[in-house]
Amino acid sequence: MSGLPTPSRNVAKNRVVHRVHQGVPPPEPSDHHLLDRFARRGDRDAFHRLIERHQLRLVRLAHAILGQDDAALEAVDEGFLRLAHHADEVLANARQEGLGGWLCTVVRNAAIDLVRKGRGPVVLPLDDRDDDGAGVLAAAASADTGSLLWREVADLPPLERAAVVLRYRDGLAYQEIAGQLGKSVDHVGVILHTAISRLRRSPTLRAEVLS
Amino acid sequence: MTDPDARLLAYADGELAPADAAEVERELASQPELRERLDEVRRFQERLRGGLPPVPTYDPAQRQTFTDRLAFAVGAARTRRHWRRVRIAAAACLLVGVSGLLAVPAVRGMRVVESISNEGDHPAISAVRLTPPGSDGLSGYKTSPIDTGQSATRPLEPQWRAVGTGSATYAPIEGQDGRTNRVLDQVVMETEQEQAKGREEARAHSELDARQLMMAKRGFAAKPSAATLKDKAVDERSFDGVSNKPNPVSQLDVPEEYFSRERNNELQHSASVARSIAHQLNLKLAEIDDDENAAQGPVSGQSLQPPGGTNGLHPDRAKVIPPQIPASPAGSPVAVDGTEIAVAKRESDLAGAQSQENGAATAGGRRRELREWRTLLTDGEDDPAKKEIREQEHAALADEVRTARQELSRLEAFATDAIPARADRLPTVTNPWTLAERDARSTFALDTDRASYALARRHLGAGTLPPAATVRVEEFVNAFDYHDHAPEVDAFALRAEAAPAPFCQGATLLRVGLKGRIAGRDGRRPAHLVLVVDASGSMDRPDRGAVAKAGLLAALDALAADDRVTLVAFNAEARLLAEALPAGDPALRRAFDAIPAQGASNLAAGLGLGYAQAVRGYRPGAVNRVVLVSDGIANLGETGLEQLVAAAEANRRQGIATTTVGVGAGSYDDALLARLAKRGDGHYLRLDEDADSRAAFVADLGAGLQTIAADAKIQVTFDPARVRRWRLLGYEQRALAHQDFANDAVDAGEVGSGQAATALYELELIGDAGTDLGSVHVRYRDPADGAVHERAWRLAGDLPRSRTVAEAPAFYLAAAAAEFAELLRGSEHAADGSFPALIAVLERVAAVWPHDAGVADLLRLARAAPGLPPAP
Repeated sequence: MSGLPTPSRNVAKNRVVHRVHQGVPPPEPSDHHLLDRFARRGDRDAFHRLIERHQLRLVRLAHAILGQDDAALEAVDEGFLRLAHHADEVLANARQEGLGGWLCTVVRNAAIDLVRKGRGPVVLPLDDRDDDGAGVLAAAASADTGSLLWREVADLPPLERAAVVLRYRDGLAYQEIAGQLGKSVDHVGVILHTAISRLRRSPTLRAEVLS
Repeated sequence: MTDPDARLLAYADGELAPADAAEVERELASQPELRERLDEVRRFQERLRGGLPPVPTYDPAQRQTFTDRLAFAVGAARTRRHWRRVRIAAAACLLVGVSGLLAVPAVRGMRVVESISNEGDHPAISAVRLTPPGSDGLSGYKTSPIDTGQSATRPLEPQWRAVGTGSATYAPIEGQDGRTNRVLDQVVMETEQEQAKGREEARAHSELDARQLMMAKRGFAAKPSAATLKDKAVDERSFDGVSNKPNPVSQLDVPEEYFSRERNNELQHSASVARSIAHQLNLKLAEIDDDENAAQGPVSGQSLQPPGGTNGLHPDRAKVIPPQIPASPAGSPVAVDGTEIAVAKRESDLAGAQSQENGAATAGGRRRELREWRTLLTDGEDDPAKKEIREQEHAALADEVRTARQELSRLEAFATDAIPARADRLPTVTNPWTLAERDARSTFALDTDRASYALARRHLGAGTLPPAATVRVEEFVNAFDYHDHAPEVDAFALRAEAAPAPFCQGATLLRVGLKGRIAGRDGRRPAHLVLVVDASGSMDRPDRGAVAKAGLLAALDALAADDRVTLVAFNAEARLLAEALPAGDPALRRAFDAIPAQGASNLAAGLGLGYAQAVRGYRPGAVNRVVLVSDGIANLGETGLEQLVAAAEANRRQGIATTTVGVGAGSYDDALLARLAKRGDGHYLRLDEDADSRAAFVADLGAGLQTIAADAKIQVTFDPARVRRWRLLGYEQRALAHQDFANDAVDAGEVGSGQAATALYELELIGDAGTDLGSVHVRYRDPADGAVHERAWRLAGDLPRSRTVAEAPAFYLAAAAAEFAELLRGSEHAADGSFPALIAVLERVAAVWPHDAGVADLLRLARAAPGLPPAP
């Protein structure tokens, strides 16, 4: 908006208006609009913009639930692929919660499925002499496995772990966490409280934090 | 939030309402311990904020995978939009058709099976299938294309799905009861998306990454109908009952639907029972042998031990404690036919014997027995009566040893029979019809193996059909000599023929025959062959062990003077019998005689020792190859298919190829042998009892030793203006991604000297003869200098024309071979009426080539096949 020319007096009024609007970027198309363009005309750019918009949030959510990089990305992929597949139905039916909410639900379900299949966080065993090749390889793929804190957090049940990660790594408010995890705001408070209490009770973590 | 700590946490997070926050602050002011707790909470929060792992990002490979799958999904969405319009057009035509047309000559007597399904991934009709009246709709005949109303004469394979486009003109059918009706029934349809999924599944199978397979299934949101998007976004899953501990059941490599776990448990149980009984018999035998030798040593020079080594038993016999027979699971009887009673009896016998021997002084007991034997045998040497008793005892003992040995090998065989062969576990996939405008390229690795035909020949000779999972169409086609001319200088010569398909009305069959150069003897590289021979009890049958030995000895005769052979035999453990001997050395032949035939089968140990020997005796510039001769059944040591195949691949990278030779049938693992050869850059050969098979084996082994083209790939590109749809017959497990054709790092097939590969395509042609059908590109690496060559040929537009059998016998022979294979694959469903058509064509080919033994053989098999029972 900087550098707007001052309107000269002999220019028609509507021209001035036009120039004022020139500096303003056009409004972002809504999710619904983009999805509609994709579903009707197969506009892949529209879909890619949708992906760009929502991807980070979904990756954060999936990673919070799963604690594992590969699995988290798989869950997010699943969400977008489902969207691409069912664009029509989503357009027709998912109006009240919006596309973002629908995607959150799908990714969350996919992440829960993956946790059920055992794709949750893998932490290196403390005993380095334990030569389980598969475990070491898998653990090497997820970040920060050696840290005591992550060891404790990874041991939490998935719901609590998700809430803790979303709150303290991503800085989301209770309201947002509630939306993403599909729980009520009060429930989120209870979940976080249970998680923190559990962490506070761990003697090794207490020693580390309170020393 | 009634818990004060919870409220503290929410306060620390800044999430309390102002009124509650004020209250907490008041409490904090008054209670110092509360301040301490708050402080502690805050410190934990700080630690968490700093110490959690970062958000992951996509690396390029993951992004590429996602983009590919997205492209499929987008394509599927586009298909649905397209079909919506077609459905409207079809409905309009329907109205016209119903009001107008009456006569349907071509479909008289047939029933139209069609339906419009709106569920999930079946949005619209893509083809119509005609089935004979009275059938269940799953077997029968397919049409191509749907708007001409022609009927075809192909039997239906169980995995076949109709794919096609075009408008549907429906007409009333004169029913058998005289009424005009149109039957609406179930139909099997497949959209392009399922086609793509099928291709991806085929590729995933060839890699045997079951996880990829699962992801391919899940990536397309396998159950959209469950997701009712009307009330909620998707079916909600909750965090209830989800824990971090992995569920061991969910981590099976092979998805459950591929085999029934209960049956597998039963079979595993009976296998383990049989194994333990076999083990105990082994021990008993060992003891008898021991006592015999100790007792008879000074008395008679005859030993019942086989010459030239131990009989493969554990050297530390005295210390081995026989394993407990495991308890039967949950009361279910072991479902073994006929041998159940024998097994039970043996169990009780052994239990009795075991309890006797399990006395506290086992060693003492044996010594006592030994003394008794000695007394019996040495005492009264002059006394004729006692001598007679001694001889009778000797004879009885020899009998007992002999029957025990027979029982042992029978039980060993049974133990291996009880494990279901892997080939039956994996589903078979058939290439579907593909629209040229969607995918005009067909890329796969060249394959010259013909083991599948040899295996089928053996099964048919024994009076049963071969297992459908072992029937590979391309191997049937490649089993015959089409008398194409071999090139002089180039590695490949191409011969293409096209004519109306003899067995699929309305389609054109294209035969692309590639013949490899015959390598001269001057360019021949010396070879170091490591023969890894299965010497387990399962090889003790006449069609296995003896056949393998005879075949290998014949192959030795065909080797050159500077070739070296190492011999490794394995049963429960692997043994080196001969190291780097020349082929003509008599010591090598003696070593062959020392191969035992009993014991469990530790394939991994055998292969491991074989690879180690190959590395030890590696000759740079020579052909270094490990030849595994086995029935593929492994029941000891590492039995995982992926681990064995990974070992083959690791050795391939070092320049040691793996060729597999399959012997036997029945308890036989076709999938393992095929995969080892494929990943090991070798060939998969078969060895059967008859002389023809042995000759073919020797020829194939020799030709395979001289590779004229390594990593050979073929890509056929069709012109959509000329070819509307195409279908590749076979090569499902050799499929490659189109972009991998130019990628020289991708492992593909090996072509030996003088070998040929034929690809058959069924085409639906449009347009005129002026336009080319397409082009064929072949890319391979010359093993002599490592240079990569690519050749291209064009498929001329006037190639397809009507040819008689006399003009093009090779064409009809190939078509007949493929037809035979497809019948055998779907043989449970195919009507017998299709065999006569095949036999008629084969008889005409045999008339043109009367001296061709292969044609005569195929004709004999085709005559014998109808009415045979399926494989046991």
